[in-house]
Amino acid sequence: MKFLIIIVIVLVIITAAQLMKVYEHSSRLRNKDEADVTEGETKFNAGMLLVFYLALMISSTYLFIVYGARPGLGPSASEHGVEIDYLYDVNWIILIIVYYLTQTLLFVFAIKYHQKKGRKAVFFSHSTKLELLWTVIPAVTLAGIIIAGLMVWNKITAMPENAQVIEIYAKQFDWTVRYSGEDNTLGNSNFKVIETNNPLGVVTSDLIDAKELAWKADIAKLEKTISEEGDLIPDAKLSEMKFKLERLNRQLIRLTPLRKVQTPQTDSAANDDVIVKELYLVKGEVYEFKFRSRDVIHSALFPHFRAQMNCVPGMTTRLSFKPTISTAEMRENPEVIAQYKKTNEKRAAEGREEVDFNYLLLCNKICGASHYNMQMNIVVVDTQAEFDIWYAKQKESKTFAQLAGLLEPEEITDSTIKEVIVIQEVAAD
Amino acid sequence: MAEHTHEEGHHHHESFITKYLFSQDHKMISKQFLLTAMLMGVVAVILSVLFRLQIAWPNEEFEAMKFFLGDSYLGTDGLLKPDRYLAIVTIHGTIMVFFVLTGGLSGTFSNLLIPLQVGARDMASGFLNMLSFWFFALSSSIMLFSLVIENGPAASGWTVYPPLSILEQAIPGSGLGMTLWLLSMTLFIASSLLGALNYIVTIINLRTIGMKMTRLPLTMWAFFVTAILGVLSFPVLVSAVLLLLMDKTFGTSFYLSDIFIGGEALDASGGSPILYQHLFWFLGHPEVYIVLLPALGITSEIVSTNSRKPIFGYRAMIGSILAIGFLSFIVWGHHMFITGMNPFIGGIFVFTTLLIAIPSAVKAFNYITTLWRGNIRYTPAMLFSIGLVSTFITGGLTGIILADATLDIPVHDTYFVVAHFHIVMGLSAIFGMFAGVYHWFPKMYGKMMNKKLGYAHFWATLIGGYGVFFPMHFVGLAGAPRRYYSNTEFAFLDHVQDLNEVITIFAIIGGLAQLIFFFNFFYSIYAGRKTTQNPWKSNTLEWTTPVNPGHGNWPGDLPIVHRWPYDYSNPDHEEDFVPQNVPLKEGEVAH
Ligand code: HEM
Ligand SMILES: [Cu+2]
Ligand SMILES: [Cu+2]
Repeated sequence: MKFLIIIVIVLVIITAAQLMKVYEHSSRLRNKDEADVTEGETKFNAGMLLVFYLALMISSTYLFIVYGARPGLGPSASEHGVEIDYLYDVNWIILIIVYYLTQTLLFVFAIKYHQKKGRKAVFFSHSTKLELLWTVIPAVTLAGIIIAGLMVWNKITAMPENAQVIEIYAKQFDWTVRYSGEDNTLGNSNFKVIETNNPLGVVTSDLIDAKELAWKADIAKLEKTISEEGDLIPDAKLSEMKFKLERLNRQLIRLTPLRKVQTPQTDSAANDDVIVKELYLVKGEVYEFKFRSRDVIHSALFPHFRAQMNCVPGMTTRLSFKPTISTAEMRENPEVIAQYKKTNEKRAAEGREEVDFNYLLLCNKICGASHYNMQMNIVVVDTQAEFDIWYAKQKESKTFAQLAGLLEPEEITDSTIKEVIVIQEVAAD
Repeated sequence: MAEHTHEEGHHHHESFITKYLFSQDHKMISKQFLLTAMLMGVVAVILSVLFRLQIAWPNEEFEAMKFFLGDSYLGTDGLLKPDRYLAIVTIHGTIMVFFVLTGGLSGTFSNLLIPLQVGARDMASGFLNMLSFWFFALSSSIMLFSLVIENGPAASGWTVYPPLSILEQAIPGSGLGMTLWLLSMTLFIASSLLGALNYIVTIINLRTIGMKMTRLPLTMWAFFVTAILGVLSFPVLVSAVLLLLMDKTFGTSFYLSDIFIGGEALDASGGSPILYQHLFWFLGHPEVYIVLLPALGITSEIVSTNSRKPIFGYRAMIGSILAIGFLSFIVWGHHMFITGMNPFIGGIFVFTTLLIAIPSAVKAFNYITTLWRGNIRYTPAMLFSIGLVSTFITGGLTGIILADATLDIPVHDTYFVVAHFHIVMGLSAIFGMFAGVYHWFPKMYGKMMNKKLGYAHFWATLIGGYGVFFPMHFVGLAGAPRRYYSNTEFAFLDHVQDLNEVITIFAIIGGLAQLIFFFNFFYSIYAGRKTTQNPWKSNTLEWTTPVNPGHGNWPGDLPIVHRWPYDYSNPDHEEDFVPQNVPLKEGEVAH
């Protein structure tokens, strides 16, 4: 198959080369110089420039009108987003004017002054006046753009006081939300204590104790195996075990600094944290989001709220916004209704299920194979009461204390302590 | 002709190897760069059309994928694998930015034109110049080779941000593929530095008599500043790349901290992934001007020659090249507005970035004014230059949105960015490169390229290019992130899927149009019309050499320069051009 395609291509090239030869030959007979542009060619290109110019202007205008207003997103659903959108509009107007104006000048000159017999170009090499003109005008315009931009920038990046604190945690390839509980304070967290039941690595003193015991038990077990059966184990396996042992010992040492920063306050701050897979927000409430990542850089993009922040392993980043339109309200927005109607018609035709408007959180920093599908649903409810109902339900099973309870530290503690004692006795013998 | 015998006398006895392979003649090295870059360009364009197919019709199987990529890139369902999608995007971007538009553009035209336009027999060091090419060739081969290894090439984007690029657990491409990428890049940078040092020294030291800095063609100014940018910024990338390599292979943690992956907590601590971004963009932003300035320099020359008019505002043009060069070093933070950067620092980067728009605007208006009341000859090179100015304006304007931190928030890393940088680099800079090839082909090969095919190529490319990248802005505005394997997982992106299909169709048109160019190029090398000595009636010194200049460029003495390069349609002269080596008439004042 590949071979056939290649043969066809070669044949096509040879044919084209032959045709070219014939063409070149005939133009040589007509004694044309390849460097000179003939009148016919000038006309053709001038015409094409005109057609292209018109097509560019018309199609850009069409795109600005039909797609300029972010189809699919609807109006900004956050307070600061409204200001961003407004700033967009102002900037777009300036840019579009400049775009039409300069493209027009360029194409008009390029067409109008096409080569003509007997025309000699005007020797016009500089003009301080003109050059000053197009240094100063852009400078003034840009000064305006900069000032307007920075005013909004300073406003929207300022961190509000008394905001509801929520953590958004990224990992390949999903999001997790941690509500900070009644105290509005997130408990400490650290990547070293991450486990299936503790995906965010939240830290409490109890948890550290449990970890310490578990790791000590592991260490003792390993040491025992190595000292007793070391001779029988293949070398590769043995060195792997030794490596594991070293690592466990290192991890154990690293628990100490974690313990140092724990206080009863941080423990209780952690225990009432609620860990869920969906983001519920109340319209009109101001939120402060704290972002962390466990593996690679992700970026939390809230397209409907015009907000975005990177999630970087090793640091906490922050962002604040205030939702102003609830999910229910957005679904009643005529613009949104019209767009989703169109989409659903198309989806129906393709045999896909219908969709409703939903706020979403996307990952917007390349993070691996499923980067394109790292999402979380966001619901904005109208009233605190609605939120409270939802939150109460989450609290029934998803507080950190409960999740950590799933680790069943007591049970583990009992058995491991016994085991540790037994092992120590054996080692002492 | 007397010239002819001189020329003959200049041919040394060269074997095939010293003439075509290990040549130290800048003209041959320039051709070597061009051909290598064209090969790399073909690969990158094919990759781009393939991943565009994936974006437009995510659930369909394509024979083309199998044909070009082979089975290892496809899943059991016959579709492109998601991580391999990222891999081909990464290699596409890397090849285009570094191999085509840095190595290819500067390598070809700085090499060809610097000695010829300043009036020198060759580059300051022919040997280093040769080395520069061979590093480039080796680096290209490694990059291509990485496409066929088992776990695939680097797949963390052309910016290779850690930790993704370091952790093989995070994506398979970050294994051997990434190591090869780093190796290839290191060699590439070595090549660039050798080249750039040579360019700088040659321009400073080897100008012929009378070639004052203020008589240099703008191409020379652009290449000169480009080379300086390269020398100042590429070493920073080398260090970034080497630190990355150490994190990857020796377990250091310059860029890593607090990582839990593959079920275990890594030992690395204290590093910062953001540090890498600072180092990368300290090169990365000047890099976009390393890509763009040579194209602008080429355009200055071509627009002036073919308008039969002096370039408007010669000194302002030099001033803006210098201003752009300087400013490009203090704006890198605009790529990092949402990394958690201190908002005050962000504000400073907004300010410096928007300043660049001023010299850029000056350049655009100066080009336009150069056309005004000219006598414009539509050679293919001239058309590409007009296309360059048009796309430079369009791309520059959307840059103003991205430079404004506030406006960047919703579109950062979306297709809006992809649209913006393609219009500037993928169209403007590439147009500059095409313009250069059409214009200086007679100097390189002693033949003319066919004009009619040139027109067909230009119009298909311009239409294809705008058709691909203009609608892409709106895909981004609607919130579509870049580097997404498919947009099907988000219903709100359905609204722009029709645009995505249109884009891909234009991409196929644009891609196929390049076949015209390739055919024309190779056909003309072998069977093109013989050229005359100065086919475009141009003023610069390269056209005072014989049609096929030997090693040493000018038979006999070097030309002496008496005037600036832009005496087109000078009213004191009968002809509408006056080459730089023509002495001043009595009473004529030098410009
Ligand atoms: C046929 C022409 C081209 C098409 C259709 C095309 C298309 C694309 C698309 C759609 C992407 C975005 C992929 C994504 O982020 O998901 C992309 C990425 C990129 N392209 Fe192109 N491109 C073309 C030519 C060029 C040229 C000439 C350049 C030269 C500068 C270039 C440089 C890049 C770079 C730097 C990236 C970023 C890669 C990354 O995200 O890591 N492309 N291209
Ligand atoms: Cu991601
Ligand atoms: Cu930049």
